[in-house]
Amino acid sequence: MPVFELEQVRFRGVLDIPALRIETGVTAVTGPSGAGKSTLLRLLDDLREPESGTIRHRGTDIREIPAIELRRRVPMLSQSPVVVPGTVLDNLARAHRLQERPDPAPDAAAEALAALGLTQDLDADAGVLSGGERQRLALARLLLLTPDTVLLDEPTSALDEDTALRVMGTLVRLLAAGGTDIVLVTHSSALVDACAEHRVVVSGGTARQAAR
Amino acid sequence: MSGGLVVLGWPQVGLAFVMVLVVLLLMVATRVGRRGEMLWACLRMTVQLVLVGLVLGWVFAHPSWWLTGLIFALMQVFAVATILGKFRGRLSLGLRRVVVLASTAGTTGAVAWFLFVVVGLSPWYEPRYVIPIAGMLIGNSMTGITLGLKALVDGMRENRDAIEDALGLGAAPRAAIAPLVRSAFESALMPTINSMLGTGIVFLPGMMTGQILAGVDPMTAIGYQIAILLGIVGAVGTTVFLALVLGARTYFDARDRLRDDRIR
Repeated sequence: MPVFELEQVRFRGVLDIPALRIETGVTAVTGPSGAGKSTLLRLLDDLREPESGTIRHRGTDIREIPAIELRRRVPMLSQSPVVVPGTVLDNLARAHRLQERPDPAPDAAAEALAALGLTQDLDADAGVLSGGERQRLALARLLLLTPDTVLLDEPTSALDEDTALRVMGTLVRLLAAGGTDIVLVTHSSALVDACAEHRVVVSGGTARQAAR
Repeated sequence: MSGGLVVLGWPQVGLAFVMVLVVLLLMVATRVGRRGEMLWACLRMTVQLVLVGLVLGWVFAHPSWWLTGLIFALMQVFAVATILGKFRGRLSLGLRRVVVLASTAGTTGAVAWFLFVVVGLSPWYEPRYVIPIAGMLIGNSMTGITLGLKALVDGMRENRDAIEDALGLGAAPRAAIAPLVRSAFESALMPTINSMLGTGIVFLPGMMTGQILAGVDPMTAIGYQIAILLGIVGAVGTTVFLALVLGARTYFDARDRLRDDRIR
């Protein structure tokens, strides 16, 4: 069963998608800037309401899933991840705290951090992190959540290509091991080649499956 | 002078205007702008207060439940209109409804508690008490709601991405917006808190000064002043809380989406 299925989905003259399937595994979403890639991710997470059409997540119309529950199953990482004032741990625990769950265990938090190549202490001030480190910190959050699917909006835009490939390679491996599917917006063809099993192109006001 | 009240006649009030003339001359000499505005404000204040004095004199001489009720309602309408006017087109329909509800319901509750429980007023419509006390509670709440909503409306615009990021991580709208609501509440309450801290040291509050000038024993005047300041904290706190909690909710729809069309 596909992770997401869209049927006749229209949104504010930005997107008009007759039919689209997002399969299990890693799907790269590509296309020119401003074409509606971020909007597509927001529609999948019910953060935007389409004028018409149906979106199904694993066969269930997303309107039948409580919105907050949907977003807990399918967290979305926005393009410029938020770093809240406080420590690295405060930031790793951001999703847990927003979901009003207990903080992740410090061991697991440190492990997630190290997996993505960050060497900071958990009690270091997060305010001094660079753009690339912030992105990795935000990705490390997801490793602590065990989600069903993750939606990533240009998660490595602040990283150089080598680091991006290494970080995403690790992330994909760890998430796949936990059975998590990934939908990834990116401009990097190297990343598409290295990580993606499927590809969706957003352009000209619509979205369609494409060959890798 | 035997401790009684020095009644200010019109010539004496005129002498107070001399002080304004001094300021005007200073402004002319230093070419500071807004001279017309200041003179206009002084004259308008004088006319407004004379009219209010005439009206209050008549109302106090003819106490009646409907007249007190009417004046109370007019104050409420004026407060709501002032808040809405401050924001012009920046409040959505939902937020305008919240202003009406929070301002009227919040202050009516606070005024009722103050007059009927704290003061134990009888008859309940005694205009000499209802009008000035309602005026102070409603006026301060009006300022509080304006400050709080301004912080909310501006904060929504500045933190739109952070709030949507929080929703994307599975936050309930309430949790996503909590930091913003907290800081808006603080900025709305700040003037009230500051004025309490300075009270009695930096300045003597107007109501107490008035009562003391009118010959009331200072301890009686202070009792009233403490009660009214606490009443103001209660009124401002509850109305701002209502306005912010209900107001924050208007930015989200039934599916807990952030409605970006309501951010202005």
